[in-house]
Amino acid sequence: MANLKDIRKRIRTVKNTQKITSAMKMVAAAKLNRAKDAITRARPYGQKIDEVTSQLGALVDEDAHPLLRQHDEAEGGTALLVVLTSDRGLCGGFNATLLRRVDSFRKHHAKTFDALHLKVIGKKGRDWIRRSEPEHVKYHPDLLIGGVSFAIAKEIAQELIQGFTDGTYDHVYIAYNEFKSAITQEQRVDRLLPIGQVGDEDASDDNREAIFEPGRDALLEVILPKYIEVLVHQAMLDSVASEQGSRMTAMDNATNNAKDMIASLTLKYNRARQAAITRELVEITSGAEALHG
Amino acid sequence: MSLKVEIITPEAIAYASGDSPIEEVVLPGLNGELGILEGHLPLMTTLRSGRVVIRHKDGKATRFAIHGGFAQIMPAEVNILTDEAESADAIDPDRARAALEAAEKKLQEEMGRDHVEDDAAKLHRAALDRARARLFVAEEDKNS
Repeated sequence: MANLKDIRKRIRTVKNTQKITSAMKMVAAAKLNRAKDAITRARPYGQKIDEVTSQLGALVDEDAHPLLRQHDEAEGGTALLVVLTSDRGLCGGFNATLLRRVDSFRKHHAKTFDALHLKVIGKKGRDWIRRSEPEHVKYHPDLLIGGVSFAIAKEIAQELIQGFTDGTYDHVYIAYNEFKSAITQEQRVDRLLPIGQVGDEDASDDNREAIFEPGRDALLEVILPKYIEVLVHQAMLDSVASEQGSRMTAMDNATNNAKDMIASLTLKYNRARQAAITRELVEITSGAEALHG
Repeated sequence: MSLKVEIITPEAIAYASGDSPIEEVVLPGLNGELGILEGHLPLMTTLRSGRVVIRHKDGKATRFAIHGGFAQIMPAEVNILTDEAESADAIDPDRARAALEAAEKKLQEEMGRDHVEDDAAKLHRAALDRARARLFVAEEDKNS
């Protein structure tokens, strides 16, 4: 029979842990709301850029701008994969599932590209880098710790565009958790560069007649980089919201587990207490009988 | 029908005219300011750092300092897409003036060192343009 004092101590420990996990859940929920809000506020800009890129894209061919130039995947070349992980832990399978997805991407494309470089954002990607020891890794910790700003996304996007235009990379991909809801995230690997088939054929007629100032090519020069910036920004916003969602779910589960554990420990404690009382009573009565005897 | 105006930044919609009818929008086009009235031909243009003035039909005006980007103009709609937009009443003229002076000094130093316009000088020039746009908008708004 377990010692009463030990059980009491364990109940206290579990209760303290429960307090922490439930506080973390509340914080994650608040941050999640903010992150969701940021996604909503960023949406109009993204939609407009999409629309405009599409209008311009419908009228141009892939030779019009370096960022549109397609490289045949069969031809190999060097690829860069940007991986968005979190800086903090205790967020369930957030990083692990994404990194598994990245691993399978690497295996799947092991023969497609001559080399696959990685650019890992977030502290949690570091341990994984050490384990799998790939070459050519750039590591950016604590980039998103204060939240996502467009300036950060722009900086990263500019680096990617630079690498693509000067021929360092022939393909650029980004791996991130897409935010579906607080409890579901989808691990995605999207292609950033070269920009795929933009523009749908039936762009409306008044846009076909639109005047471009200063000329379509110069506009592409401005708008295509923005298109990439927006994609990176959206991936970052999604990743941060997913992280908070994942943490909220993980902490909710932990709080519930703690609750179950406390219930079973309390039951065990009461049983032990009852057993001790019974034993004492038996001892007293049998002692008394012995005296009478 | 009347003109609708929106200023959209990557992080939020900075301004939407909504139901307030707009008379004219002034934009900082690449080759000088553009005044857009209702019924303008479809036009897509890049923008400089500068001021955006939205003149309402009731005579009031809303001013913004924007930094780069482009505008999508349609007969009944003007969409301004820019990385940064600051509304005139959010700009502190004194701070804007200090920033302008600092930017001017930095550019002077950079130009003094060598006469080639390198990346650093370009950055300073961009900072100068932004500071100038910001101060201009703040002062114009105060005096109107």
